[in-house]
Amino acid sequence: MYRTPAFRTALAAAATIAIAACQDAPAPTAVEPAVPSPALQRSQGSELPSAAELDRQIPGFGGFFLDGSGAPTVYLTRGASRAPVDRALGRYLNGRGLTASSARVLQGRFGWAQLERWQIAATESAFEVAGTVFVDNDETINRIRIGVENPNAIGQVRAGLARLGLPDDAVIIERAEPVVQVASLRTVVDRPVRAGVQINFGGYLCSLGFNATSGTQKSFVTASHCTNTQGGVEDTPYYQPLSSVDTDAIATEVDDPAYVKNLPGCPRGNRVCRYSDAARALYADGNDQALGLIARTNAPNNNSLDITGSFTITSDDCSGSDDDIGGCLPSGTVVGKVGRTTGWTQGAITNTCVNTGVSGTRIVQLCQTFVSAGVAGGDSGSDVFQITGDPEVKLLGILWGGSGSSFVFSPFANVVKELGALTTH
Amino acid sequence: MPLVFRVTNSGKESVTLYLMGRKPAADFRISDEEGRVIWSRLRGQTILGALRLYPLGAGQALVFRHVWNGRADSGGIVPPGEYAIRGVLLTDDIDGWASPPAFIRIER
Repeated sequence: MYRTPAFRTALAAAATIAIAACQDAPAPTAVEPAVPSPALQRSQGSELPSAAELDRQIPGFGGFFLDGSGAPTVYLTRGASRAPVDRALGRYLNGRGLTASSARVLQGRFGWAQLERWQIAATESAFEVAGTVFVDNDETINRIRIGVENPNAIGQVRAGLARLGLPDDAVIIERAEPVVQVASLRTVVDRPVRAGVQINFGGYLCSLGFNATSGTQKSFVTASHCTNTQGGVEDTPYYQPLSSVDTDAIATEVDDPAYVKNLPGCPRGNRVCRYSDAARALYADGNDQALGLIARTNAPNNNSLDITGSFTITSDDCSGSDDDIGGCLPSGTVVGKVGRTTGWTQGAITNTCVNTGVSGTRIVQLCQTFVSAGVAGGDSGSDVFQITGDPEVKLLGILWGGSGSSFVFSPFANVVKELGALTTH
Repeated sequence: MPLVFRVTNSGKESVTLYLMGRKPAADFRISDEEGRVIWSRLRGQTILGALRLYPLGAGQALVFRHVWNGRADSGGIVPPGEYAIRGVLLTDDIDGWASPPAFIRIER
């Protein structure tokens, strides 16, 4: 949403928000990187010359950095004069309340330009070895620093550098943790597709509820209102995460019972009812189904959307008979959900088997469950589960709405009553 | 008392709003002088949790209207005093997107 709108108050008893595409930076959810203002860019450029500029101005320059105490520090090769350092860094140091001569000088073995050339050559060579993580011209040690995942690769990398003629003492090779791209519930292109990630249809975003096989059909379940029309099958195509990211639909809606008036417990008049806000979509490619897996973040209720692993569905809540409608967990049970907007949230069941009117519609969802936990737009369709062991969970149902600080879900038994038997793990 | 909540794109380009539900929805919330919310149009209502990508053209506005009957959620007529009224657009933010307050004074 637009998080920094320009507000403008109108008449008493009337509230107004003014938004603008360019002014006041009301960026949409897909936030673009901030661009520093030209003034800021000029200011920063004039204060600290680039390494290349310092190399031009300081004979014997080997690197510049701030040490652990924040002291400006320069490497100079043997025999180089200090005076050019003071001239080149004078304005930068004065601007920080320091004298031009306050920079610390360390003796370096290698010149900056030489290290730059070696970094380019080492990059070419080192990345031919599997498990190379990074190649850095490290200005803090006046050396090339190379990180590898596996210590067994160190010898291979060093041999390659030797063939290029890099001095052995110009390079430090060490073990490093691999750099992993952080995937978000909103942006990940998840194949096979786990529950909890963003799906897109029409002009809407929802969350994938859970993967399920119906007969032989490899499918997923999401909310009924996460189809082109709530109730009734319109062959809604689904994209993941967005049709603009992957133009091939991953699945098509195949089951979404109509809302009807004659269900037991449905109010008289023009109200229409169902036991679940759930629909099933058939994967275009069955291999895309990650049966039994729910994408997870590192902890509940911390606003994180970064995927750190998966929950594994090992059981389902009760289903199969009318006695199971409403689910089998009592109020007070702590349950969770993973959805594209608020991630993993969890809290206690506060109400069970609630006949729930949907704001702004004629719909009443029969025998639903309320949970005191966070929810926001886009979480519809989320899987709801109970942790039975980590990472094992019991599948409980499909989230479809929010009421204040609670979310509302259709219990698994209600879903099965309307969509038929489902294999979820 | 008529309440109006207007969300205007005052810029020169279309923007896409991320709105909770199948249709754009907004709450009106009225707070007393202590800051306690004494009335909310959507209190107790369940809103669909889909997220609608809603384009709002330059100069266009979403307008929400409601008539408040002067009663608190408890059902009673609110006592004289000053009250703050906010419109809250339901979005993908868990707290929604609230307007600054407009103030009214109720006198008897």
